Amino acid sequence: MSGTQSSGAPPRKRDELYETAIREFGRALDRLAAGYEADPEKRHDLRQDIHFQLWKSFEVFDGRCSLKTWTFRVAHNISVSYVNRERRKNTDFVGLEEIERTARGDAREPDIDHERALRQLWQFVRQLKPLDRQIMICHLEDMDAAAIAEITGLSPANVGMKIHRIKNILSGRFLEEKRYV
Amino acid sequence: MSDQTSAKDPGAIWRNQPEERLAMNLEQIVKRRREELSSSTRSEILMSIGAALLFVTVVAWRIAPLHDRLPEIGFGAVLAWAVISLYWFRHRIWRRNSSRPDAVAAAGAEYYRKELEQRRDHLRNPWLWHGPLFLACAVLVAILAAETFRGYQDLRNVLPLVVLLVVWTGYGVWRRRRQARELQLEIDEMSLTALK
Repeated sequence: MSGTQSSGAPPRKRDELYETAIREFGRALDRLAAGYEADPEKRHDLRQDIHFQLWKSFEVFDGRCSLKTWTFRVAHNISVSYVNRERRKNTDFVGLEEIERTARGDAREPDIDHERALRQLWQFVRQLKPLDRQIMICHLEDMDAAAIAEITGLSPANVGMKIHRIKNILSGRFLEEKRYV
Repeated sequence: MSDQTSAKDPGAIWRNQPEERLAMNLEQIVKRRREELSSSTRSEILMSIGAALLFVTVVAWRIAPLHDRLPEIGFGAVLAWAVISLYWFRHRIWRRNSSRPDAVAAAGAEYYRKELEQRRDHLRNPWLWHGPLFLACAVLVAILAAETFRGYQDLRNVLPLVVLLVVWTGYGVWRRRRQARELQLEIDEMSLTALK
């Protein structure tokens, strides 16, 4: 994304950055929102909020990180704030460690169909604590540990450890042994 | 990737989610935000004027001495200020400025920035939009200080309302000044890069 890096973004540039970000990551942002909110109407509001704040954020985009990192960082931050606002209405979130302890032998369904698998994945992602959820979503978006570390602000080693846990949990749930064990 | 494989690959399942039915439209989002800001301003103006009118009504009814020039002048001034405020803020209350050609033709950022600036100016000027309520408070103080005031018993009749309004006014001023500071930060952020 070096072409999009600059020292500050004047208004027109900001609109261009926003359009580029949405063109390249718009679908991923929709999936990210789905990881934070199940209700379609509320999710629409969350998506609007993400788009609006992202567009505004490009005013101060200074190119010190890639457009992708910036976009996902903003989107996750907005979503985490949203989750925290909604927390009173939701059940408690759990960490990866907790899921790892309770997931053994749970939900092993070899002939699981795609839609059901997606529902199960959503359910799984949405119960995670915000930071674990960020890592999980980024991992599902096929980002490597370094990219996730840049987005979350955690150390690459810490992210690596979390990803290892995620892979274990996912392999237990989805039986993707070759790829995830 | 076969269906069987993708059904077992969480990453593939995740990335192959069905698309959202409703597309995002930035212009509409910005417009909605702008309307939310306008709506907040409008309800604050009406609340302030309403509170002032309620306040003077209760004071006049419960403790103001009958046929006394001071409260009569004071209440008249509050009513006049309320009417002037309604006139002054008429565009904000009835949203007439939303159709101004220069506003709708402005770029998204400029359009939004104008609303931020208007709201900031509004919040920074409590003497104007809270004027009737401040004046009502001043009238009450004047009544209490006047020789014709009949004493503590009358005051006790309205004390809860007075306390409530004083707290509400104080909190409102503090909260709006804070909002004005936050808006200024947002405007500064937008202006910073626009100048480059």
